[in-house]
Amino acid sequence: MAQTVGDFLVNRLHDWGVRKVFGYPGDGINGVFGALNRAEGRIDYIQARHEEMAAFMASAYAKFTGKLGVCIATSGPGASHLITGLYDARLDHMPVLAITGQQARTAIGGHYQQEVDLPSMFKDVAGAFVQQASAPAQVRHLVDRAIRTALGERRVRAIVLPNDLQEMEYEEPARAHGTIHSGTGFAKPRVVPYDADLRKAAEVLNKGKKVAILVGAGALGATDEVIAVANKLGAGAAKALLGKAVLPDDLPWVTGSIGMLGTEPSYALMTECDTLLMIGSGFPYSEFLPKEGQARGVQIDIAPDMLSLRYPMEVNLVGDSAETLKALLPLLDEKGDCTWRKAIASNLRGWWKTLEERAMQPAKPVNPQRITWELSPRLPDRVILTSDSGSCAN
Amino acid sequence: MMASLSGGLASMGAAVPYGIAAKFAHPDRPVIALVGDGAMQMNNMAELITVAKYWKKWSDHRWIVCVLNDEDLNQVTWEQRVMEGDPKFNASQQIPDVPYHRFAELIGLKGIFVDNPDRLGAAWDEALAADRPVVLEVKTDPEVPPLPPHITLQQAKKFTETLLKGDQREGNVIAGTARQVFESILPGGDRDDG
Repeated sequence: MAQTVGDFLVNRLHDWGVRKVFGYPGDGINGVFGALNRAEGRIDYIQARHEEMAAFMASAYAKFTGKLGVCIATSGPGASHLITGLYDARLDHMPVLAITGQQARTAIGGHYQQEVDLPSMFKDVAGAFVQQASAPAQVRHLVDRAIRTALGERRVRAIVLPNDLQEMEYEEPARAHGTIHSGTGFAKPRVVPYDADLRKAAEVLNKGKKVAILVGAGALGATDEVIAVANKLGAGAAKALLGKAVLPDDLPWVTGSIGMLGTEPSYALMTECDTLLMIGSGFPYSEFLPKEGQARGVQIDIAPDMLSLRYPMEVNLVGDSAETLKALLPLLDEKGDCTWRKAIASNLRGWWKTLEERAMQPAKPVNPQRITWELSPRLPDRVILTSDSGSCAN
Repeated sequence: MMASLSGGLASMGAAVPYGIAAKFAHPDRPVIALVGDGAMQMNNMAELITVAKYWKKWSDHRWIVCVLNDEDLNQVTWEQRVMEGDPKFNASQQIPDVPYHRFAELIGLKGIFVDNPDRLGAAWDEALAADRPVVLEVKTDPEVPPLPPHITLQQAKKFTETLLKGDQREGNVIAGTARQVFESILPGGDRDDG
């Protein structure tokens, strides 16, 4: 049998390195599920109970692997169920591809059963690239562009495939006018600011006597570099929730979480610092950062649209955290004075006692803070922690 | 260690699917998910079925979800109290008591139930030593307040008493008080502007 559009899609995903797809079936996407079945495990299909859960899984898979997350659902309600999980990926800048079915091309626009205007529905969450295929020869570049831009821009993308199209014989684009001849592959760039801008940042950081660092998800993978820079600057560091795994909490200058339910040492760090270095964080609550004018600011982020958003920064660096910190390190002066770090360490000793005191307060029946107090020393090496939103994250 | 949650969207219901994805990303690593009872009832209980379906394929079988069962949509209850100055709206906040640990057993996972704080340490040890995924259900107190930084235990106790009194009354009696108490301890509130 010739290769169908569904078969081609599965092969192309495989060429792109996709090995896991999270989803839920339905007749609107059966042409692709048939192809997944024929692919005999070259791509693992993981069966969720609900499309929203599949989309969360795709988002988390991207977070825990650094690879593309892929979720798949049928037309109409299957596609609309994906939305919340896709927004999760969108707001945390994760590359996720959603593939959904659609009614047959001959029915679209006919108020047909399970017909939803999917390109419009996905338009906000999938941004600049949401496309509904209308011909077999179009599918190759839709897949290639969706995945390359998802990885390159760390965004959600959506491809909508009418169900009749999925079962058609695949055709390569003809060598003719009006066809697209795309290819696979993407290599992450090394993004480092210009030397002149690094020097400006170093100048600000070198002048500071009380440097506070805030790390977020963008600093994951830059642990050694953050530690090296913090040590040279004699800085303290707070962690936004998504950056929890950037630094271990047992370092005497790491103040832990920040915000409404953050730690007191983080609060003191931010209200008393004279310089703020923010690395890969979109932490939303400016009232827990220094007051405007209190501190000079330097920020590093891979996404220009996240710069100078929570605090007006003097130097805004677009760059990969680890690479940028590495380039910055030789430009920084070793701070001799350790008064600032001593103050932080002393705050932290008090804070750990407070935490214990709070966790040991009697309650009816169990004080929720005791749960994590008991878990913390028992956490196995290499554990992966997840939390829901709400009191359990506090 | 790795750790994540639904950060920007802060959606309910992400912890269990995140924990499942963690296993498909790194089947050799232990996974622990912390989940409220609201999210369990919303959709995460059903997703435990996915865990039951796949866990034998994971090379490390340690997959633990800790459910905080306080029969309360707790974060939002506290927000009603401290942000709005309203008492807890029972019709919206109180949720049914569900035996999550027994549901786990029903679908072939291990269930552990704790309602005594002194048993928590042993319960974690048992969960981490289990040969299969575990639902560790802890019966927690919804009236322990989530506390902002730099509030003392004494302040917290008084604050909680004031707020909880409000729950017993009709209407907005405590609105003014609660807001004042809270604003005085928040950045941007009276104390910091002074």
